[in-house]
Amino acid sequence: MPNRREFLQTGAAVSAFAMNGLVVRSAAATSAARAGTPSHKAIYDDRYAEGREFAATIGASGVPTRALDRGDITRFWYEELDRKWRSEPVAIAGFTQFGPLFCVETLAAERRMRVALRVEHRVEAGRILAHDIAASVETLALAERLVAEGVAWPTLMAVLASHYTADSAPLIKATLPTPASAARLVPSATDSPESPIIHYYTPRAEQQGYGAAHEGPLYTWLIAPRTRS
Amino acid sequence: MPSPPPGVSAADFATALRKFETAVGEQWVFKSDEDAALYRDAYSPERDEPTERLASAAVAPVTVDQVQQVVRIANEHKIPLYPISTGKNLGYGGSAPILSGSVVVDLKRMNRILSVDAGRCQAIVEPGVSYFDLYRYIQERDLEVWIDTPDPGWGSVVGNALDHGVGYTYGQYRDHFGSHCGMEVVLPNGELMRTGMAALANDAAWADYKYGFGPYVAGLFGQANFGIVTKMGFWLLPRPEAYRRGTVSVPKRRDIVALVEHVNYLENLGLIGMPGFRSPLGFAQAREPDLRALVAKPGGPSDEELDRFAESKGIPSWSVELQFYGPEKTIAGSWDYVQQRIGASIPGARFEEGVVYRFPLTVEQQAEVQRVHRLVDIGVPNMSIFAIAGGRTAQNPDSADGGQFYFAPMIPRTGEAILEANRVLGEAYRDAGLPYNQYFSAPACWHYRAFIMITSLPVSRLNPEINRRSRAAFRAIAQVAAEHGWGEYRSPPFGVDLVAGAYSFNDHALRRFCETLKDAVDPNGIIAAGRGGIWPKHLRGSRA
Repeated sequence: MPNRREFLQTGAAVSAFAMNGLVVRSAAATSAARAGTPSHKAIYDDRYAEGREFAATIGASGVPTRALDRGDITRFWYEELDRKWRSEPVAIAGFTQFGPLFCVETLAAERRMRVALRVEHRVEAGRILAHDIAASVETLALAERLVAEGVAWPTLMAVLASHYTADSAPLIKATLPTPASAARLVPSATDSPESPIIHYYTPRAEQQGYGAAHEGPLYTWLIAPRTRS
Repeated sequence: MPSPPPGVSAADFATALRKFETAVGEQWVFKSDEDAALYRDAYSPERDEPTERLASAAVAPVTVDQVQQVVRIANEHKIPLYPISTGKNLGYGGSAPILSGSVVVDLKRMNRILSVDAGRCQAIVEPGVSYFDLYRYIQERDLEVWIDTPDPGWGSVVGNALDHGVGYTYGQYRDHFGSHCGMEVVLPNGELMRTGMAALANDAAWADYKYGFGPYVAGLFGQANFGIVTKMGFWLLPRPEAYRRGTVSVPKRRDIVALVEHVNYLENLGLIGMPGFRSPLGFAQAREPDLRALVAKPGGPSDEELDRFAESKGIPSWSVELQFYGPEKTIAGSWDYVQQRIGASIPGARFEEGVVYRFPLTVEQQAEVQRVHRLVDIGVPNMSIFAIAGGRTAQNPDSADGGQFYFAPMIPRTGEAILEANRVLGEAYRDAGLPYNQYFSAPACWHYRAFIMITSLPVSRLNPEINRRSRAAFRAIAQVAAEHGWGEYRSPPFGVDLVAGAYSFNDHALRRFCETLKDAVDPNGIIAAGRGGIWPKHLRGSRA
């Protein structure tokens, strides 16, 4: 966990970039923006412009990234994460719909890992996005600072998710509003409006014949090992 | 120190937990609130309400001997246990016990694949083996067998079978309990028993023949509470040479009757795997406001009105997707036969070729299969279903962070039954204040000799009112279904008594028989109280 001095320095570094009108993109800037251990990997839903921006930023900080397959976490979990977590617990960050978060969160719980950051991004009335954040006090403070400095929110989320501290303190909840970006959480490439087969998991809107329900909220998250006692 | 289970003193509970620690190792007994919370049902429709089913603690043995020790300790101190395999039973309780305060016996660490015999097409596994695990084992050894996997594939092979879970290929394989062969069980007194050929001192034919000699008791361990299953044998599919899909569409609403008869014939002969019925006309509601208006008109549309609309737009009323497995020439011939048979019988029937794969797949084909999200049809476990779940809905607008549970009544495998179930359930849903696709709902065919008119009911972690409404709807609709002879094949925990109670022939003779067995086999009532609607004697008064 960063001490107070490190934390204040971190905030100052980010503020300087933001005040100069720069997006926090360079590896140096992003790593300076967050103390702690870098996340092992970040996954993202590349159907969303915000997801791609998240990936670009967190990737620039040195965290390897991987796009999901149309929002499907199967191959990432089967080819990488299951094997990795069988050998050691490592932190995984994500910018996804609820389903992949739910999968990783459930599998992490079995390994006694914890959600260290969880942000639901919801479109509110007009062009406002609400970000319901559950995070540590330090992360919340950093988020508020970055919002105040006008950092684009997907970039901000990448900064929050790029590093973690092995901290078991309870998460604090808060809501941060930001102006909506142009994409507004709309997938850029839509799937077929009809699933190939109706399944009991198929959203009810689709069961009822009202088309696919891909407009669900998106989440930024970070799942990390617990503090060793 | 967690709160003790009901009827157990704090001192007794503390003693039992210490003994559990001695049996399995201190680090494998989970006593903190944070750890116990990991066993909450992620899709619980009772979340944060006084009735939410919560574990008091959990214990994770890794050997059969440890399971036996845990059971003996529980018997000594009358600690209710709730065994789970991997605990992924989403929509039907997850990893939470039915009786709050139970100690979860978490079997995930018992994850050995004891054998896979490709020549005899069989496997023997422990409860902690997931479909992914078994699939990986087979792939890494390039064994020419397939598994039949449910959706999603992260669950336990044993656990899914024991809850009468299902898959997607041929009927005999996608009935996962039906495809098991021989099991090992720790009985409530701690004794170890095996069934079928596994009961022989030499178990060389464990997974070859189900029945052994004498009564077939294995059924007592599915959706029930007569022991803790620690090994199961399963039958596997031989890897077919090829796979083919084809879709049959029929124009008129009443054509579903003949279509089902044909499909039943094909499946009963073993020519096809799981059929996938749907209504293209129903899907057209999304883009056809006139159709929505027709459906919403007072009294609803007649069959003739729906047929006229379908004809005017060239949209089939129903379709069925058929799956063929086998030698390439054979399944091509089967598809030809389907076209001849149904084409000669149902005027206006149309036929659409689907994908054809030869196995093993090329890298390009694997990528293509990934894209079409139908890996389960060819025995490949996946979690793609979570890529389509979770959107906000009109019924659950607050958050995707909730889930659903299922109402899953079994109806006869006929077209008339589909139409009748839609009429009856449509009215029941309407009376319950929930939507139902009354004219266009198609059945699931997982259990191949019956249809399942499954629907999901929304669950919210934020809005208890949504959960109360869903539970009330379930109760009301299940009651209506029972009056028509349609019982559920699985149930969320809050509904087990209602569902079991519907099987009431001769003053609940079946339930009374199970209770008699329960009292004899598990007199202290320590194993999975309430599972299958079977309660130990001292808890029967609390039956919902």
